[in-house]
Amino acid sequence: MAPPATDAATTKQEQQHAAGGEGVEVGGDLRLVAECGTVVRLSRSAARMSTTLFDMIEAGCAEGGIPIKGADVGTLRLVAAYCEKHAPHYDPVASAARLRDPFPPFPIEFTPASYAVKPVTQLDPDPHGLEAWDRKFISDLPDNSALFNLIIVANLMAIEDLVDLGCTAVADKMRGKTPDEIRVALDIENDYTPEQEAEVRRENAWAFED
Amino acid sequence: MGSATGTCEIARLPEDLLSAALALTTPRDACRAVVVSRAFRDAAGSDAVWARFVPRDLPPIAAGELAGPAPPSKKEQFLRLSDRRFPLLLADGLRIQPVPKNPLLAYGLKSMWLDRGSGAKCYMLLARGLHISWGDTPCYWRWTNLPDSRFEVAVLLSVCWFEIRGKIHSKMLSRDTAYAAYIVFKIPVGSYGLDYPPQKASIDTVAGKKIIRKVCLQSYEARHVNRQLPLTPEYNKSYQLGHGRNPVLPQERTDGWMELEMGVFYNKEGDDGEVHFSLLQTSGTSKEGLIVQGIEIRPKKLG
Repeated sequence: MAPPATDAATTKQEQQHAAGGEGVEVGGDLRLVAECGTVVRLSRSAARMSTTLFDMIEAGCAEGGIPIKGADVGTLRLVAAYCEKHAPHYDPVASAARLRDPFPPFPIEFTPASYAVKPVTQLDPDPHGLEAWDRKFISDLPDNSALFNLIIVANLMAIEDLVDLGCTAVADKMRGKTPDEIRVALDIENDYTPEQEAEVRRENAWAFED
Repeated sequence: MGSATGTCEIARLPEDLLSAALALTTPRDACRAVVVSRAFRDAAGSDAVWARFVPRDLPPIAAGELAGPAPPSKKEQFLRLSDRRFPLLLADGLRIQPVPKNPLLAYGLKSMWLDRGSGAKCYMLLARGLHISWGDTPCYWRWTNLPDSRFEVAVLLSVCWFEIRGKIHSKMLSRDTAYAAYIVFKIPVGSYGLDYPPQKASIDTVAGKKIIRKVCLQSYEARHVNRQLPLTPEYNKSYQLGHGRNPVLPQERTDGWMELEMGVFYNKEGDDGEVHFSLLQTSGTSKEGLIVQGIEIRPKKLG
């Protein structure tokens, strides 16, 4: 496999290729292995979004195939597509701040001077089109099963943004709905006896008053 | 990969992820979700969900308000904070002194509770925390405690310049929520001048918008329940002309008080400033006999 001469990264790859064993690309794409054995490639920059993979890269054990237990090919490809799309704009600090601390502590000072920096009005709320892409990504999922698989694999690979996106999609299917509607939307079986159901309804009666 | 029809797919989702999804809904949705299935009951009752529903940016509560043993779960904590019957007095840092005759009462300026359905923060700007023109002059207004009000209420004796103002900082309100402000009051027998001329309620938002509406503390019908004025056609006609476009009228509350909606405003994320409320009637007519508990601010469902 003759690499192009102009690309500095590939030149390095070529050198390492010569140094290391054959069939192993050091410094190139990660190779994620699904349950069935199929390989899904993921670029290193996209792999940053997965804390698990990031740690493996740092520890130097991301070479060769990385088996993702319990993940089917379809879901892995979706996860890879999400990571590749979001990777160029990924800011781990902002992401962690948004997900872990949605409620800032109560401000003690009320004087305007404390908030001297006025937030800049953002002309375009979705400058990179990521939100629109995310919406289509979720709506393109064929069924609930695919959505759950996506959340489970994203959780396994510690991709917080994708777990959040998936959980938000599940939450959207539950918000403002009656229990029956939720059961239909998420294919859930009612495993309460009529007496048990009546009791939990009574315990949470306030939620059904409107 | 195919699964048999009828299998509960969502059972594959670990409980903590289901809780993470439920935490993104509302308290009302989480309680309704308990009825869906047993797995949902466990996930929906978990601390992970209810910790998200209790806003972490609660204003400081006055000492002693949350007395007693700590609630056993975050859900119990939320239910305590969202109990409309027992709002929590805030430690406003200004005047908290126990009243000598009754040590349980205090000069409260604001009390707070959470809206149970959405978790949004609600407030009552208590009468003592409002600016009432001539409120400190005993021949115009007096202050007293009533059995059905934990805090002091303002009682209008007689005034021509009727002006009540209140304010709250937007950072105390829940972000991206539509709120309505209500003046909470009672009209005892012997009141006068509260049905006409109509009062003007206004809200000055952080963004600089001024929302003004014509309100009436006492409706025409309520005025005549006590047969205080004869129901002649001439009076009826002049009354309607005087009021012009129909003013907003008060509603009865379940706690025995009345409330009059002063206006609706939207608290946007990033709003940083004070929201001002006022109720004015400064024409030369005399107004008598109004008991003011405060101005209540709570979320309003739009549309």
